[in-house]
Amino acid sequence: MSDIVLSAHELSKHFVGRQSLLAKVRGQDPFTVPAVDGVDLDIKAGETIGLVGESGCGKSTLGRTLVGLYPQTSGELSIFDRQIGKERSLEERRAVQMIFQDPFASLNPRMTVGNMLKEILLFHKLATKEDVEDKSKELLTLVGLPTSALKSHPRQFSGGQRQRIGIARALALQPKILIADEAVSALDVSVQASIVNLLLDLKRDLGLTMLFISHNIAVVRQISDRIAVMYLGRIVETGPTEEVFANPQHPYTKLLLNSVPKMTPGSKLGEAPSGELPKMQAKFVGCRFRGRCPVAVDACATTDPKLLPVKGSNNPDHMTACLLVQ
Amino acid sequence: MTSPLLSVRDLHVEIETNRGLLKAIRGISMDVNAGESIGIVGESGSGKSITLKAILGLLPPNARVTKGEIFVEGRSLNGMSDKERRAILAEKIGIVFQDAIAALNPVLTVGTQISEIPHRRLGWSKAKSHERAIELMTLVGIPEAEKRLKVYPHQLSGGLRQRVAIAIALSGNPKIIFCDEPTTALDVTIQAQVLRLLEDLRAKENTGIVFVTHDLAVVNEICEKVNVMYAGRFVERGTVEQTFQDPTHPYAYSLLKSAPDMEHPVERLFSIQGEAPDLTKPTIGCPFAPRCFAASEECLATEPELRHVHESETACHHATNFLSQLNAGQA
Amino acid sequence: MKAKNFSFYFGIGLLSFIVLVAAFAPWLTHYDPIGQDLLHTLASPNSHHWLGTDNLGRDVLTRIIYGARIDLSIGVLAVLFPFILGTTLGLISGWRGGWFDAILMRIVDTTIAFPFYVLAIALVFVVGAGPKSIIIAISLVGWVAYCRIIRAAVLVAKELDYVHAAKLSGLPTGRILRRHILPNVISQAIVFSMSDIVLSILAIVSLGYLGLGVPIPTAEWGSMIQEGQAYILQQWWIPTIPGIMVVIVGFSLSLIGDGLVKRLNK
Repeated sequence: MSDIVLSAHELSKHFVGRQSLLAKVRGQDPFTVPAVDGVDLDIKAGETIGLVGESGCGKSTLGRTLVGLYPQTSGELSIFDRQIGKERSLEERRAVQMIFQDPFASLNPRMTVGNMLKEILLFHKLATKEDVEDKSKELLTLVGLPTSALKSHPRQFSGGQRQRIGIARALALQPKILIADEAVSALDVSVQASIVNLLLDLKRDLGLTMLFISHNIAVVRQISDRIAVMYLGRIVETGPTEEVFANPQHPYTKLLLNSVPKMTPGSKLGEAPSGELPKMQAKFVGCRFRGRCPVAVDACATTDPKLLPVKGSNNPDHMTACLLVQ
Repeated sequence: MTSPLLSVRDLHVEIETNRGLLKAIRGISMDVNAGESIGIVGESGSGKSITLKAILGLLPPNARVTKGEIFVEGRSLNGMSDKERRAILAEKIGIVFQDAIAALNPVLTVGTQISEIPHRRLGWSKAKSHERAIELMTLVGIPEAEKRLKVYPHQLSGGLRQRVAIAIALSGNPKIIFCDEPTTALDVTIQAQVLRLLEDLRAKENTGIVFVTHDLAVVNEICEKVNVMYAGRFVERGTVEQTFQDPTHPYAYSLLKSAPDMEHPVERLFSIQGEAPDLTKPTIGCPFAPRCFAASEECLATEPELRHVHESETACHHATNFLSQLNAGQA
Repeated sequence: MKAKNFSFYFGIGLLSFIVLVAAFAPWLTHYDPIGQDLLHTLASPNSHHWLGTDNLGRDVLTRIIYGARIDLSIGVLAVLFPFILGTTLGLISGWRGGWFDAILMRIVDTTIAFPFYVLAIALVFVVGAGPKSIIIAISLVGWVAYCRIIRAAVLVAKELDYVHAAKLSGLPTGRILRRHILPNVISQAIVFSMSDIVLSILAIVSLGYLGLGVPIPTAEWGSMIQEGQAYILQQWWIPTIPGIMVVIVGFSLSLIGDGLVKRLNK
């Protein structure tokens, strides 16, 4: 059991809209958006899970709930079998760190890289005043930056270099798990490649455990051991990356994978999928995907499918939330 | 032989920045024929968007075309008055931008915006323009066109907004559509729909499409020809099939190898060393040479011009043997 | 680029000159700013009195210089207190939100709606005329602007990822506010304070003109204008020069403010 680093069970994060006094007195329910709505996810030590989905599916909210930027509305979250409450201890915070999307907004423009690292290393007593500079230099070397970067401000770096600084900052706290939220999405292809390679190197060398959130399915395929597909606040399919790509089960996963433009020479545009991502509702009845689903049956309108192992698959890790394949 | 719909010759653009004069476009030539789809790919700062803006005369005030000639159906735009030039461009070329919400006027209904060009510019009657708007909306796949005419842009989803933007681009019956990263802000499933729509339009209406994007896979799927842009120039051009199969420029090769392929993941992505050159400083030799695995003395001294290699055109001194250099380097 | 830098340094130069002259007043002029010389009243500018004398024979230049001491120092103090108070409250309000923010913003709205001069006049009657009541009056109203500027900037900054990152690394709130938020939001308040100094000097001068400012005979630009206005037709320079000084100080501060916008937002 102990090789599961992070475990979420029925985890939900609902955003509740502001309510006027009158509405409160009348006892009306406030407007809620169930951005994450009952997610089950186990992340094992040393593995990289790719979380994919379209905008508004709740993948970023899930990431931010896992690191503790948002308190969960309900459900359970544990790190190494230890239940995490709404208020996290210092140690619990340290255990889950994040790499952000925007390389320009994620670094304090008025702090040198050295001060940035020094501040958190000293605060967590991961270094002493004497060796903090050496420790900071080690971190920079680890992410492929020259040690001279310590004295520079973020504006002196390119987007890719800033992303490396963000990775160094996250690694400084020696987290148990790293959550990368669209960490390469704002970068040019060639820079993106070098950051993906860096993350793969870190995983190999440090045994990093990572949740890699991205809308870019090709990048996720490149980096992940396992993949989880999210749709309207739920994980609808999860399994080993190769297995899911070779043998997608959920109709949404199929639609998503089909929509991705391919690099293979001669590959031509296929038939376009129909429909659009529907609006979030306060409550869903039945399967959330059925409105767009080409194979929906009557039962889909009434039964909310649970994430269960795919019937007939020889891989118990391959699970999906679709009545038709369970 | 009839002249191409659009033809650009030796276009140069300079931008005044606070770091000095930036040579954003350093000599670009291209032809667009009816029914052709041409991709321009490159990374940020390569000048791909500026190219479109320069052709359309939409450059920001600190940028200007310093050299070059643009022909529309064989007629040179040089020496025309601004008004004349704008009229010709507006008639022949439609534009779709990345950010549909910024491209649409928030206070006018969708219908007003689509019928504006037929009504105002083509001088059609209100009723006829209205009909045309419904026709265009149906063409771009907006369901319940009649009802949707009366809505405002913010009431539509991102995918529908981009369809409206395409309908507006089509409203003047242009011969060519310029697409500047039209699907970058969209989700993949919606992107697939918009790409399908553009492809259908090209096939049905014989429209020429110029598609600027950083996404190689998108180019692969909807373009026939591709121009790979680096530091303000085309460094390789050819058919998509040829270039994606057998790139003849090390930059094109590196770019293709650095993009993850969903169908064929690799152990390790190719990453390009260094950074793009600062175009405010004069470039000596091939601008890619400092980052190139095959660069030689010659590359550092003289900048190569586009020349025919196999079926493509490429601006590299080592077009035929750079791969052996790479293999030698790795061995 | 170059022109912008020039106007910034020109503003600094102009202001520093006035500040230095004011600071070294006793060494620069041997006249007493309140010493009357009834034999030489209303003299035109001459080699002894460069800007002439007023109706009590006091040297106008000397009074201008000593007046700068009073007006500039009250002006700066009357901005410093609201700056500190408003910035602190704005930081807390923007960061915490909730009931604290709601109550504070109502206080802010009320303060804005309150007419400043009525407040100032009331205070003068309670505390008595003089620099103290001017500073209190301006501070009571002035913090509101800083509070709103900082609060709005904090609302934006606290959603930026570097602040999230600081939170995730477990840093205490005080530290995050001080090291990660304050340095990134303070620039707007600093820029505003430049024009605010102008406004508060104007307020001091106006109160002086109304006879509610620094009590006479202390040299102060506002009271100089008020006392001198009777002579505007014959000895026009007596009320005009202090007015010009207000304009020059305001001008140099606005040049500095403009330059700071460019610099701090880099």
